[in-house]
Amino acid sequence: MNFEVVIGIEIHCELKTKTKMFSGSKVGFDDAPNTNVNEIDLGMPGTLPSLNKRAVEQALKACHIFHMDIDQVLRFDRKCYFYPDLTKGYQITQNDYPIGTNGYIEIDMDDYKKRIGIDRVVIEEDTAKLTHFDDYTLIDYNRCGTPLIEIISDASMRSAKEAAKYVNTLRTMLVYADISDAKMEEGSLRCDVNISLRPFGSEKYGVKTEIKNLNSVSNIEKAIDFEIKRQSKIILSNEKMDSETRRFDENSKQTILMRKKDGVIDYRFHSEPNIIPTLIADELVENSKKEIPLMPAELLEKYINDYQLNKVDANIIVNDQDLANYYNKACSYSNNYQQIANWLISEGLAYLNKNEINIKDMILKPEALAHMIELNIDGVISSKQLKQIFNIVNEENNNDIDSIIKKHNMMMISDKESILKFINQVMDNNMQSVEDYRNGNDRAIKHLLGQIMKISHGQVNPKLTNQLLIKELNKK
Amino acid sequence: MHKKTILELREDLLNNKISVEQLAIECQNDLKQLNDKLNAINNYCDFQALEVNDSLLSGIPYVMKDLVATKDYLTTSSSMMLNDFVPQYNGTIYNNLSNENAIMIAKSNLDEYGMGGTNLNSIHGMSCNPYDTNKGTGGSSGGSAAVVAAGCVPFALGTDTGDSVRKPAAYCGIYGYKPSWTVNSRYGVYPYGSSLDQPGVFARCVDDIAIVMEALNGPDPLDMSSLVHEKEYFYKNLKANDKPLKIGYIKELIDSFDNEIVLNQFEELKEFLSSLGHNIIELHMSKDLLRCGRGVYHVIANSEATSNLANLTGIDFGLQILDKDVKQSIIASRNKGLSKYTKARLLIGALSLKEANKENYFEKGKKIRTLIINNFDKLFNEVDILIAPCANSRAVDYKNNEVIPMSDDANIIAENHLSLTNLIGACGITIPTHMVDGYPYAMSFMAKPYHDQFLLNFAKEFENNLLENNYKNIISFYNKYAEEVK
Repeated sequence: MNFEVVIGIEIHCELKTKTKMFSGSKVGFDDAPNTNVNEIDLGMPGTLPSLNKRAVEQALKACHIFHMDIDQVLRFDRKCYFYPDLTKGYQITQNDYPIGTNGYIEIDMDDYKKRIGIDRVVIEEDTAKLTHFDDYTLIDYNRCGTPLIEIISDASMRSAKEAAKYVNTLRTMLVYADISDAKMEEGSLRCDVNISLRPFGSEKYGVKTEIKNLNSVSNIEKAIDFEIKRQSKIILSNEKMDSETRRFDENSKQTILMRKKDGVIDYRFHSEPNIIPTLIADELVENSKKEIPLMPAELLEKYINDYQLNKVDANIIVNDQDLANYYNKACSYSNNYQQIANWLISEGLAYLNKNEINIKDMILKPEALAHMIELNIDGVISSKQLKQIFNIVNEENNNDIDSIIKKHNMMMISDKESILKFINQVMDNNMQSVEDYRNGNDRAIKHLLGQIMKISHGQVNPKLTNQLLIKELNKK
Repeated sequence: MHKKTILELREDLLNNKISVEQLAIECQNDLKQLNDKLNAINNYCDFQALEVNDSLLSGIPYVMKDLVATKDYLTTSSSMMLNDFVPQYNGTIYNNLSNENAIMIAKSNLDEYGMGGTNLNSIHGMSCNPYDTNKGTGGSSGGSAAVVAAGCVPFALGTDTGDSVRKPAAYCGIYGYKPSWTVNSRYGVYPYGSSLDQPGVFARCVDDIAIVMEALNGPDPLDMSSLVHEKEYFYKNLKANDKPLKIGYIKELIDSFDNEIVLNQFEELKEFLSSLGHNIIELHMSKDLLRCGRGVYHVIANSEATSNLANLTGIDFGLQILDKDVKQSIIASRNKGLSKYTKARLLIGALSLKEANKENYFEKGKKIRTLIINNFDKLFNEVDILIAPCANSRAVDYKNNEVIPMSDDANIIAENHLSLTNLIGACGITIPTHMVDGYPYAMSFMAKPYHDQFLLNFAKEFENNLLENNYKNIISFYNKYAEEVK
């Protein structure tokens, strides 16, 4: 018996802000434990939340890119439970009135495209980070109060591949819009996957399992694949499926039971009285929209349709936002889109990988690259010289391409008179080859060209020289 | 003893009759001497003798309710849980007074976390009424009321969630002021019911209330709710009202009182106000709705309290009792750290928010609150000020377990109506008016939200007229204090 897999995903995503959601203390991933903490983060008596405007703007941007309906009356609730990572004893979140509802993103599965609904985007605050040891636990309050959005999908994913694609697409979008670092390995994007099985054609959902805190896209895929097998086995053997919370163990590649979900936890939600309902000005909504650059899917379309790149090349560039930013910048100086892409994907990436450099730190500036490519196409420099110039740029930390060409005397000779001088000299000294050509041996041209290159120290424009040589040979 | 008003003390300071240091030391000594009887002070504060400058409050000593965070000073809330807690941050209202060079000399006893109307909910026991130390001050800001009523300081700060400033003021024969919600910043004030809490002032005259309120109020970036309006200059703009006003009373509320003494006092009040040229108007409100007030107050305040006090786990501050695991340690710490009475209130809150009850309690409570707000909006369309007696009885003799018999309505409505002011976010002042058998009685005056200046101007008119002449049994309590603490 085959089952239909039903998957929904909850994502917690840390927003890129300087300070915390409700306090002025700094947000910093790498800082020493418990250094970015004040009395508000510690939930000390009498302290009050102050809303971080930047976090609201970031949440608005997320709502825009996910096509959400935006509730411009900002309201918050308290979610109450006792746990050492929650200093106030409640988390400020949006239970009753999420900032965003009813959105979607599109995933491209190559064979087909699919819309995945996003039911809610809510603004909330992160908890402290607990590190458990055998007989004690350490608390780092730095993370406590970090601005978060929770992104809750609908249950429309039907395979591990779709789930992985959904998370990856969404992650890239968040990075593009500069909403979040969205680094799963650092925990700035965390995924909880809900998965259940049901017979094909069944309307009713099966009993679901929640897999907590998956830390990479490939683990999402593996965990779901494992869960499908595990749940199928239970159903097929007529055992009782329990609603469970599980975690994924990377070593055994299995999901492991954390706790049974006996009834729903009562979080005693109630409205947050210290943040009176606040109207988000239309201006703020509009301005946050203006901050959003082209999304990956739109950029891909632009590359393929407007720049005429092939899908493979276009995807390589789009998947790395820094690379895409560099490419876009270069293309703003020159419309040799394909040639710039070719150079970046071959020469550029090879150099970056070999030297383990991020493209943001590459010495060669996009405008210099655009200029180099242009000079090459116009025949001012040869492809061989292109490589030499790139090396010189790196060696001399100099982006002035024109001065490099001048200094190293690399300008190609492109005036007819000068080239004709070289041609005539070579023809005079290689009568046999001239004869061969006239007798129908085309290969003789190669020899003659080689000689011209030699005496001109490779500086003549090869294309033009070729044309002129043929013309001269045919004259006599 | 320096039983003087702020302005009188300022005269003395400016004329070098006394130095700032001397004044503060003498006031502190008065407190120490009386505290055996009053039990009003939790901690005395080391102070710096700040200089006298242009500010009317410079060099003036005062007492702070031990519920407002003060950096480097114990802020215990009269609770076992925080008995050793020294905040590393200041309440904004404390900062505001410090900026005026006012001098905090002690922190006062209270019902822990402001939960109570008796001051019995304190690890130190109740603070005592200077007019009769067998009797209570009422609560929760009992200690602050007692020290002002005993004449130790010209003013003290309290907080008012239901009636926690106004009722102790009434029982102790002094003025008690509760501003409209959000007028004073709540940052650093330990919360009880956040949507109701508001810091207020005890003093012995209207000028002093206005001077202190002028210093306290203003938008505070640390309290978002306070950002909705601008700073007000209550003393600078204080001007006794000279226009005839429409003054209303809710008949169903007055009918719920059953104490003849109080009802007669109220009749006198109406006559007196009428004699000043004001128009007294009878208003109506459903008795059922009035009766709901107490329940709605408890559901909302205690629901908010369950989360407000959920930080008290002993993990990162406060009393920590270790048990076999974290969860048990939290339970043990809270069990020992919080009083039985506080736990009972938290239980009411938790039950009101429980998924199965929420619709019927918390959500319904909020709906009835809206209904109450709408009803008062209508009343305030007809009148400028609402009046009523503060309470059905005088201060209670807790030491002899006195129980004052009264009707259900008196118990439910008359004894609790001051909390309606908090439910609608309005401002209220209680002014003592009568003295019967040596005990003070007081009247409540209420104006609509953010009409604080208007209410103070009215109070000034009221006070001025009584300074000239008593009206029947209504007497002036201007700078009146308990001359002998028995």
